Amino acid sequence: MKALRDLFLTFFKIGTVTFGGGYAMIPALRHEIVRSRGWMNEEEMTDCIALCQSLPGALMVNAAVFIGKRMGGNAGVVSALLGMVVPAVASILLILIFLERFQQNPYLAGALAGIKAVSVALIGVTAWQIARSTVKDALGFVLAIGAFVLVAFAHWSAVWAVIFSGAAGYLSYLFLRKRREEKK
Amino acid sequence: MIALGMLFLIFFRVGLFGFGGGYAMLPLIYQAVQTFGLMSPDRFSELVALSQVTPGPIVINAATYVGYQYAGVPGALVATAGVVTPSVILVYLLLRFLTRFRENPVLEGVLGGIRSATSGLLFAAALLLAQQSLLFSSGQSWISPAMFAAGALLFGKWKVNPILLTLLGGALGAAFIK
Repeated sequence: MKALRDLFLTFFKIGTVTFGGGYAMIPALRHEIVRSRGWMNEEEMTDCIALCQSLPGALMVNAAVFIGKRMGGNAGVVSALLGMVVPAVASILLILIFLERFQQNPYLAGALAGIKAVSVALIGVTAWQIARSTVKDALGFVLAIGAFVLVAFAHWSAVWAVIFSGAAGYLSYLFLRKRREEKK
Repeated sequence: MIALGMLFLIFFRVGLFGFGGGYAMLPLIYQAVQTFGLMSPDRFSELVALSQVTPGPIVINAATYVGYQYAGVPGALVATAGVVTPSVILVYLLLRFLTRFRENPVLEGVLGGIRSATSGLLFAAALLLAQQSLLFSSGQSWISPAMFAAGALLFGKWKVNPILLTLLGGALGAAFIK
């Protein structure tokens, strides 16, 4: 029971204090799961992010299901998902029910600007940390830069970067295997 | 009942085909709103603004919003359940696949490629957010860039809790950015 409660609370915490969804939530996810809870190590976390972004659907919803299932089976999935979804649903419902029209408040706008400035730093640092642990050879370097350019400057969907890099990883596996066989 | 069932299916479809999450899924939702007349399309811009200032995944915010406009609280819950269900099914399939093919060199190869690309995608996300928030544009006061620098240092070097930094950023922003 305690494990389920912890799963719910962890995702509830991440789901409550991160704005803008998706990539903006990864720094908090990594910090809570790897450093605070110790449920996964850095490598497992990176794989979790890499895999969850390869599937359709919201990245953080996928991650909640992924981690919930690993840590607590089906009940774990329910706990983690509820933790992730409840703040998002509740905040919208509260605003819709109690405020007729959403009003642009200068303090709210300032708070958002501040959160965005910090988020850019958090995502950038996380990107750097993941690059240091995953980019080990020339191919990795090319794929990281390629994905960055494709999405940031050519404005392609991240899906293509995932598909291309997966295919490149597969081809490099084939190439290395062939070279190993030739040596023998 | 039929209306709620349809709402579930519409959002199930969004969850199933919405690659890239978040902003990448909003056009899909807009299309569904127009095709099925779920709410008046001009409220869609309000939805986009609202999903930015409310916590949690944008897709969940959007499903709740559209579902509520269409059928009240039951609609909000049904639409949210619809958009989440494909994730549950697909991640279950993925985990089953992973346990079966663990240690498989082909999978390791593919995953190795995607791992490397992940950092590039994160850098892209950071850059796009910086552009969108005009963080480094010329008319901007020095407060946002200073908060960016402080955030990078505190998180990167001293490993301060990112949730705490986010809250601090919000508080300082409310006080000093107008």
